[in-house]
Amino acid sequence: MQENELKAIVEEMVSKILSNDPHKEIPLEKTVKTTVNNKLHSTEISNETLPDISKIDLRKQFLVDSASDKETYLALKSKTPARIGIGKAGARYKTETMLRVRADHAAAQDSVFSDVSEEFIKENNFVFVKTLCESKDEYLTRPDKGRRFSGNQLDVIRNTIPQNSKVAIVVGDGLSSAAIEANAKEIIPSIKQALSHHNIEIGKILFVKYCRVGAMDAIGEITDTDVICLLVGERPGLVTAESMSAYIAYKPKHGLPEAKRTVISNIHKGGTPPVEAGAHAAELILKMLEKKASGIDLK
Amino acid sequence: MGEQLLSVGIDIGTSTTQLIFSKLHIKNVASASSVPRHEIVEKEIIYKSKIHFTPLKSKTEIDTQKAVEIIKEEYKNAGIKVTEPDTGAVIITGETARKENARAVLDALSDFSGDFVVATAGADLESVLSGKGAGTDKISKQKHSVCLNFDIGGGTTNISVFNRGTTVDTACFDIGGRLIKYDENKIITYITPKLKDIIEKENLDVHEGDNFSLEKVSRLLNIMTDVLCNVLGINESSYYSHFITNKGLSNFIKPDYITFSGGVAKALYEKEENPFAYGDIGVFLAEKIKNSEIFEQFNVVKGNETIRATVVGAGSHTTEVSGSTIYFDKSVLPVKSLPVLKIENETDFVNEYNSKISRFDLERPFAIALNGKTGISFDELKKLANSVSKSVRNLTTPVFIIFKNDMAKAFGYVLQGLCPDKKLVVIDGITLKEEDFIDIGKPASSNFLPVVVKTLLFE
Repeated sequence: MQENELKAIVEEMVSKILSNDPHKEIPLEKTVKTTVNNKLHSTEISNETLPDISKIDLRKQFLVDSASDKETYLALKSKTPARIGIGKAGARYKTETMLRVRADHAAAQDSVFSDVSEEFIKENNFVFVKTLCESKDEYLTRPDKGRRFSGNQLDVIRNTIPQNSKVAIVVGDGLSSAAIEANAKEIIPSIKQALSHHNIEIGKILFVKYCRVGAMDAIGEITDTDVICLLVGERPGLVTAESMSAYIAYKPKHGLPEAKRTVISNIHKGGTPPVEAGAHAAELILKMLEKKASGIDLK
Repeated sequence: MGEQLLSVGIDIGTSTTQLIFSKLHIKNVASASSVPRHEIVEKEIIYKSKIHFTPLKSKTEIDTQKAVEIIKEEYKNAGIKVTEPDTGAVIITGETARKENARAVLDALSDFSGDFVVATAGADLESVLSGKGAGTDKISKQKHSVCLNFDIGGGTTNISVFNRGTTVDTACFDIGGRLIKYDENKIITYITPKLKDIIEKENLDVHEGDNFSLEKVSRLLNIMTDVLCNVLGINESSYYSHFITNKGLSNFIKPDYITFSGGVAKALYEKEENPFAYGDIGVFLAEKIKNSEIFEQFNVVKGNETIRATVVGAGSHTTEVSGSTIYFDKSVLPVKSLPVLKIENETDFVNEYNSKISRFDLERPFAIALNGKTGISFDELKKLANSVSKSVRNLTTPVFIIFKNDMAKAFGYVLQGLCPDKKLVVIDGITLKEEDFIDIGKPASSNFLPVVVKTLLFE
């Protein structure tokens, strides 16, 4: 719409209000017509794909207009994934930043609400079990159910992990399925490799759907395993949806105080690399076997 | 929860010999639930020696015995046994490094100073150490700017440039306070060959055996000052390349701040009662520099150290700590001066290794340096370990692998699985270049190793 046309409309409205004449109509038709005409010109079909904004490294993205020292700002930005140096449009985020926040938020939600795929479980020869939860909603609202198993599931666990095993690895979806799919494949062989140096072999690996950290206590209770290492998806944030934790405990049982778990958090490719975290986890496991303790008792 | 390393720095320079002891405080800076990460959080100087004249037997030879005596005496004064330091560096700097027996002196010193890690300097390392000792890197980091340090000693001027705290360039020139020396009767006893060339060219009346006259050497002082100005892009001096020791600045970035260190810098900031007291031209050179365009055109700030900059650098800034998840066989540590075989293309490890291995003496251990892919998968890691194991299988020495990125522990386990009989040291968090040398110290009680990276020994 042309500026003078707009001006005319506004003038007309103002004069109508001022004169308080209800019969003087605004020529609505005219306005609509102009808009429609303008729009018709800009409709064109393109085969272009939009660049994936979630692929941009936030630490290197700089959106401040006319910064006096961009390089220094970037040097500071390289130290944090926080959304600083993003400029603004009036009082608001710029479009690009706004879209990225929403994209990251969507990715975080997706990783909570999606399931670890069946193919992934099959591919890695995990043995599937499920806690008492029947759906994601129940999982999110009833943490207590995410720590317990039904009778037939307990049988599967008994058949998978032999009684009095030294070490068992358990994988749980937790709050991020994406974290498991991104890291489990890398960390497990690394743990196994390091443990094999001490002649400790890992048997079959359980996969727990709708898994809370406390599920390892239930598994420890019925198998009497010395050390259980639970790999579980962390609550995703806006920085990454792929962060995983390893909770490791000596003789976990129901009622185990949280302080007796040792945790390695922030396992993802931008944090502690999964391969290296695996070797570190293996050494923690060995230390627990030796000292018969975990968590704050492990000095 | 902190740990401490005792570090010693010994600098045998053109004119002075000094020593410092410092405590490096090391802490796990990672949060409780993360994999540990150790960093040096504080460097505390606990002892500074007197400033001794470097003992010379002749113009071309250092008096080894006297040098050792000086150092022994200082250990005693500090109350520290020779076996105590965990790490540190002995460096021979400036003109002294070019004396005939420099190597022998270093060996003598490293032998008597026990098990600690010893470094020697080339001009580049010396430049970096003096800049760090003067605190120029810190100023650069704090002010988010480019800072240049001139360390003007007796025989050389070492230049280091830092951009936001990182070393970006070094240079070295044969300019210093003791290029001309005279005795108590002001009879000139020594002129360096480089100055003699200029004296001849410029037809100046300055000769060994003459009476020292400030007027007569004034032209020489101006020439040296002009060369320093030239370094900063102020005018051009025809003697610029004449004074270069090994290299000038490779890529000049106009510095926001300038610092001065070294013995001559001391005279920049402190008034000398008797400028002839040292029997050299240092104080007069300082005066010329103070009145030069450098002070007009640039923002000159005072560093932390002047005459002690290099030794503080050697004592406090040579040691790094490795990553905290690493894999090593304690029995082969410490090791000194491992030459570095740098692999640039890890996907073609075997070929690159084979093409470079001929340069190494296979009887002696060396370090294989790799960047290591960030976010490496376990399969990729295994493949790399396979290549490495094939290549090192026939080595009779322990195998040292140094990664830049965090993967050493996992890699160590995999590699050990492939060659169970080899003694392995696999560490990460250390960046190495081709032609570097590396010292690896003994493990502290936590799981990291002190490391000293050195550039070329005697260029």
